[in-house]
Amino acid sequence: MSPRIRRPWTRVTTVLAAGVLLAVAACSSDAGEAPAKDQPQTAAAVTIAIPGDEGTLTPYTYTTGYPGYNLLTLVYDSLVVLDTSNEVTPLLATELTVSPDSTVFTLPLRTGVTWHDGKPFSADDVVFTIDYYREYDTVRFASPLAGVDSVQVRDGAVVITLSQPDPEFPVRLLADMPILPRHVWSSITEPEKAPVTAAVGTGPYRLASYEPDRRYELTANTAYPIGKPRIDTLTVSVVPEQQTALAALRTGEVQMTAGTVPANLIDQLSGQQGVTVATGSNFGSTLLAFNDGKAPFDRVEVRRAIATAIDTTDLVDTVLLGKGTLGSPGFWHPEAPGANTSLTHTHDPAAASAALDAIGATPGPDGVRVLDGKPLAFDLLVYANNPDRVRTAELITEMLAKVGVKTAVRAMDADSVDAKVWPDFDVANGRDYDLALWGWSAPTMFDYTRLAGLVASDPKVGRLNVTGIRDADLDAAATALNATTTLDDRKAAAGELQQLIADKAPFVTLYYPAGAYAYRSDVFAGWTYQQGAGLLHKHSLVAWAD
Amino acid sequence: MRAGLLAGRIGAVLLTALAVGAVAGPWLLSTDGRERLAAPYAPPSADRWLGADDLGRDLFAQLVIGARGSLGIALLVALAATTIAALVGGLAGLAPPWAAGIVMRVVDLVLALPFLPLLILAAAFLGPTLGVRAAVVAALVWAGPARLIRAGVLAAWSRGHLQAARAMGASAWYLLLRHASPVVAPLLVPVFVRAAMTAIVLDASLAFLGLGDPTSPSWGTMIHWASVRGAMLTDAWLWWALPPGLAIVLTVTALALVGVATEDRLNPTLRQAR
Repeated sequence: MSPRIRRPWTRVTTVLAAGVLLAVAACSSDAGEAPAKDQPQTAAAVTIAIPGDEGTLTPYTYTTGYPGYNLLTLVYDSLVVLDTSNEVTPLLATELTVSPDSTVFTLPLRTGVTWHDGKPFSADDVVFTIDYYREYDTVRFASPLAGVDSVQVRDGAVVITLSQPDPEFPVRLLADMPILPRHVWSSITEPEKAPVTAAVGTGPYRLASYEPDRRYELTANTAYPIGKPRIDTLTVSVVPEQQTALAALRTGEVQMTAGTVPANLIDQLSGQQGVTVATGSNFGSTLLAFNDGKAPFDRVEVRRAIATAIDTTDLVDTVLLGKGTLGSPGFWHPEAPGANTSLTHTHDPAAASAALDAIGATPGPDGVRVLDGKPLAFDLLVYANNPDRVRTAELITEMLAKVGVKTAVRAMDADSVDAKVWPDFDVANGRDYDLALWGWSAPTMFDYTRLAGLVASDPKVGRLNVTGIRDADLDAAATALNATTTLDDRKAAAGELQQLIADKAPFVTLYYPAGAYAYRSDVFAGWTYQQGAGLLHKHSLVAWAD
Repeated sequence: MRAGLLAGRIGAVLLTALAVGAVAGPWLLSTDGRERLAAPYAPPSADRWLGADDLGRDLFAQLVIGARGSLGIALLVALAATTIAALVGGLAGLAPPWAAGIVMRVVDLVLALPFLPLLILAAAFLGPTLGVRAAVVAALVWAGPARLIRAGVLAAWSRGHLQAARAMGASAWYLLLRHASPVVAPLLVPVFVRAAMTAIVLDASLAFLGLGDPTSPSWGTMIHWASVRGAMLTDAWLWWALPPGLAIVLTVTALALVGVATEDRLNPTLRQAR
């Protein structure tokens, strides 16, 4: 898949297409509770299995958001980086100063940094990079740059001025954008065809060799001034089947798999000597989407009743074997920054039945309720290639049958479901479904404006409004959120909007599946399950100097 | 007893047993295979002979109920494919040469179609319901047998008693019904059997690849879920993937035995060679 260019990166099949922002919080390690001996923090050689080729590992040629972008960040640095608790910390910039109105961002640059080819890094490279992404705007770094008014260099510091306040600019762009070397990239006019020789960065690892569809070899950048790479030679092997990759991990042929470990295999794998499975919650969500513009889902009573009939605890326990977090009715993951943690899901089939009775939806002869002359019988669309979701759909069918609502699971290929729920990935094109199992990728939870995007009725603002909800209260709250100019105000507005989403139930947030990644802790145990990137990120592979 | 006859009897007994199991089995079960009765991934026990799937649903019940799905599609496809083959082959045998030529070129075209890729495409575009799957497989399977039947009709046509009847002015329809059909009809048995075999294997392949309906009970669906839920990496393949796999092997073997026996019976040259 190549979510980077062709598809909006918030779509959930590209869940992992998130790069730095891929969010995982509350990290824990199942089997790594007693480290000390045999937990090496450095290693001479480590092999990582990835599911597919990632091109020449430049910002224009990597293929997937995860793990492709993560590998990219080993070669390239950004100005700032999100640390293990998702706070913005310095990287190529030594600090970040934001003006009170969130329009001017001042970034003094680190000195003594060199590119992998030995040339010195300077502020010119940063200015060049911003210009380059704006000129060749097919990458995701281009759209947040649209609001940049000017970029100046003052006393070794880069000063970026925006035309509109954007309190989330550091997270959305500065921590995401790889800085390009001017002396290499100024001559590249077709960045989509950038050769492997263009993979020159300032990062902790340099790309030593690349065999398409087979492997990458990354070697430690010994001149890296910001920290010390923990692994001398990092081999990245393409292993298309996750089951094969896990088998290779068990035999010790690879020391880490980038893909997630299925819930039912976690115990078995972590029981093996020398293997650790690190699990943590992931901010990717799974939802039951209603077509809110279509009867009977245009009635909030119907939506609330269906939500109340669903036992999300059962879904997490059965489908995810407990390896997941219960959905917050306000959509936001309870562990994500800005979560309104007062919201909890209520499961009460009796109350759901009573609510449906109250609006006159009484059961017909076959037990299916009839509302306004139409039976409450619906198709439930689901990606056929997503086993967890298919099983979830089957269980929801079971749960709704108990309150007299009939659903038929329609498992279809992902493109067909997308075409019905989110035609051409533009909500202005409308939608054609009753119920669908849907979801959004982890980065959604790092950008408060996306919360507004989920429920605003204007397609230009509500770019993620696939349920087609049109509600004056939600619109007002979304507008208020987008108008805030400081991070604190925005956070507060997001909390209120979550409350309102819980009340209006434009969709039911079912759960957030956990992430689980396996590695050989007897070879290298330095992996940290950190904010978002799973295990594969700089913080695992670099011992920071300070 | 001759080997062919013995094989045929074994095959017939097996098929009958499978059919009876598919029809009557589900009534004898205490569950419909959709109820969640055990812990997810429960191993086999005295109550659950084959353990439970990833939702805690009885796998033995799914195996018994899955027989309906798998044998059902085999029956549907075999009926449809044999009917199409008999009609097309029969008409091509009777039609004037230019018309027969056109029909047989169409048959060649269908025969030349890449089978599995086309099936995968069709399943993706038309949806994975039982009817669609059966129709698609049938639409691809009939062509080979149609040729066989046309050859049978042509051969029957040239027989002495038919020529004689024709010389006496019998109509084409009379000839077909009265004289040609007894010669051609036995050809339909192996056609039927072979179509059924192909259908079972193809349908299971589709389900395994995830192109079937993952919620409809069949042996292929069971293997699909065992595969996507990592049963191959644990011991669970023994009770999750192996039994439906064996059931498919058993059914196809039984069909093959019956096919061999009927061919043996119908083709005297084969009989004498033994």
